[in-house]
Amino acid sequence: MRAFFSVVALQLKAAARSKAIALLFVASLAWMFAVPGLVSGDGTADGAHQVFVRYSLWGVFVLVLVSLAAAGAGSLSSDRDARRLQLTLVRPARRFAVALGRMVALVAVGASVLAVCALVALCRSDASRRCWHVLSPVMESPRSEAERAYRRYMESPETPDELKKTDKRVLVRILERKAFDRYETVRPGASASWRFDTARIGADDDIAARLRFSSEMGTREDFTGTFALGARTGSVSNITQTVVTVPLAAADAAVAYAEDGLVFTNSGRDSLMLRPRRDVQIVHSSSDCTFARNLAFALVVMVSMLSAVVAFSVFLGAGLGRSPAVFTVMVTLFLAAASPAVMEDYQDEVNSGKGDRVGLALAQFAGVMTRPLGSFSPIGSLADDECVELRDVARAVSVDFVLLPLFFAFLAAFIMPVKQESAIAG
Amino acid sequence: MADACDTIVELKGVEKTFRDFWLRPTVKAVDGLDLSVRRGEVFGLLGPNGSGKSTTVKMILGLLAPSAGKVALFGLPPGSPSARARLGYLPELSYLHPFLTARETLRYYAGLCDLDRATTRERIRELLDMVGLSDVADRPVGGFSKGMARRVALASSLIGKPELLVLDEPTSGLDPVSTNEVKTLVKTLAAGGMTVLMTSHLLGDAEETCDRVAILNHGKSVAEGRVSDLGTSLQSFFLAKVGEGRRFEVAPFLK
Ligand SMILES: Nc1ncnc2c1ncn2[C@@H]1O[C@H](COP(=O)(O)OP(=O)(O)OP(=O)(O)O)[C@@H](O)[C@H]1O
Ligand SMILES: [Mg+2]
Repeated sequence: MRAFFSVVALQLKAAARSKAIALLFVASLAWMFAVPGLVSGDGTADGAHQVFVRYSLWGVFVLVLVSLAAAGAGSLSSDRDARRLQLTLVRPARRFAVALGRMVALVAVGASVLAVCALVALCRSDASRRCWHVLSPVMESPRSEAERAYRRYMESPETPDELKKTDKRVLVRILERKAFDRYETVRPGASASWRFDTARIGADDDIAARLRFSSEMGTREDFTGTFALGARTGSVSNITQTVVTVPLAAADAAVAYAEDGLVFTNSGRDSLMLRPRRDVQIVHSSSDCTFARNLAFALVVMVSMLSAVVAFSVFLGAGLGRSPAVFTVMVTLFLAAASPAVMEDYQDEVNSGKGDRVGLALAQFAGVMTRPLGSFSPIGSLADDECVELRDVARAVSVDFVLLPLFFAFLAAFIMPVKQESAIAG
Repeated sequence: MADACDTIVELKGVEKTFRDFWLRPTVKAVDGLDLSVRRGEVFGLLGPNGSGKSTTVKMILGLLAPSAGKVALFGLPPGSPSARARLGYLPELSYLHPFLTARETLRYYAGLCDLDRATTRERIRELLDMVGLSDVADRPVGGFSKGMARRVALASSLIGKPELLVLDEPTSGLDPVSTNEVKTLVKTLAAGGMTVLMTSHLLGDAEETCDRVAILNHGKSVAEGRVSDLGTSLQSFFLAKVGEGRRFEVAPFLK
């Protein structure tokens, strides 16, 4: 235990005295204060808040993640490159404690930067701002819809033979994505309805219908209409925001959940196109779902993600020289960030060339390996006033914050002494 | 005859071949070495540059794995935690963390040896006094001269009160006065029951401090025995053993 704390202290001193911590703090805070001037929202107060939270925290998180990944990859490796590590290795301290101490110190640095920036975000926002639990429509899974569509294709005489010969898994995967993205059109004067699991909604919760126009096609739809959920209704007119939240007020709360279908009636002049699986949600909130709590939860998730990255990079530094370790961790971060976009872009596996398919397979592999980091979801949720749910926090803490660091510290301890062999004489 | 548990370090037929990235052998640094160091003695590992002294030391410390043969430290495999707990090591160069002060350096290694707070503070004070660095204890060692850095490294090798002290060229970089101090220190520690294994190519130093020496050349032991049994000065013995035919050829360069 003393060895562990000695290593933590050593790593903290290394970070502090190289001025790295000071630089990181200054850069992060400068970014926090610069964002409102650099990116503008849609003119509304809500829009400004969204943009501020998203870009300020996202920027700081990327900065912290990249700098600490580099620091982690350099921590053990630079000691070995300078032949200092042997002096630690001949001591009775457990190598596991040495690796873990490095990780913990770096995570503490990153966590404190993130915490201070979160505090700035809190001060610049309304702490009691409402956040929402999000429900998506209860629908047939995209998978089974895809299977059905596949069967229909195969039975149809119009389907070209070439397509019939294509690998079933590939086709189903494409159809599944199509199902997930399937549009539904609500013509002027017509209605559409979607079913929701309303049992999750608390009796005193505020409820709203929410449409998110995140698609390439209709980034900002101009629409007018009425939502109804049981006896609750809400109307919306001429809205052009990307995320529209329509409060559903109850005429009589007693009959509110008699029915679980959300009905939208289009009373505008244009058809409304939306993808129910992505764009239509019911959000509900009790009085304790505040921005402050959500920010705290998001912070915990961010720190957990950071821990996983730092642990991985310290592990790389235990086995590689400084430069290859830093390079490898940067490539990994890049793959993690890029793979979801690559997978999104390569939707059509059938018509793509061999090279593209290899690229897709690699991206899929990288995406699976780095899934916890593939999206900066806590910040997105926070910006969209969506609750970071307790189960997400629990998963992040148990896997990213506890399991992965222990696992990588164990691996690092295992390979740390091996590398002595190739160190130059001395 | 000393019994088995009095043998602190034992090497039997030890070889070390360094390999390159493709595992092709590059250097045979140690070649069939037998050696034993007994409790309480000061053992000198002597030899010219590149003869394999540091490599041997690293195998004893468990930093390098021998390619063949057996190394035992306190009867344990080198590198095992309980063997490491009884060990102090001063490397060839000091290899300090430049941003730590002398005191922090000692505190760091004290932590790695699991010393409690009071013991740590007490020992740091004693050791800084001993190596004469009390006045500069709170300056970063990155700014220290070579000799000062050497003293810090020496002090940190002693922080855990080791049973076996391994010194790789302890006097390199020290002025004559400090060299003398180190020699006295080694003798004092040995008198107090500590076993010391040191390498050197300074024969005068070795002659004064060591009870027994082994002379390495090209990774092989060419002589081993008590300094007092040599019958001649260590200097001439050494030159006779390894010095033949070795002379810098200056003439072609001057032409
Ligand atoms: N890590 C290594 N990789 C490759 N070769 C090495 C390595 N360490 C030592 N050698 C080689 O092994 C031989 C012995 O080196 P070693 O450092 O043990 O010599 P030494 O006796 O300590 O010399 P010196 O008195 O100069 O310190 C040399 O030829 C050296 O080049
Ligand atoms: Mg040497």
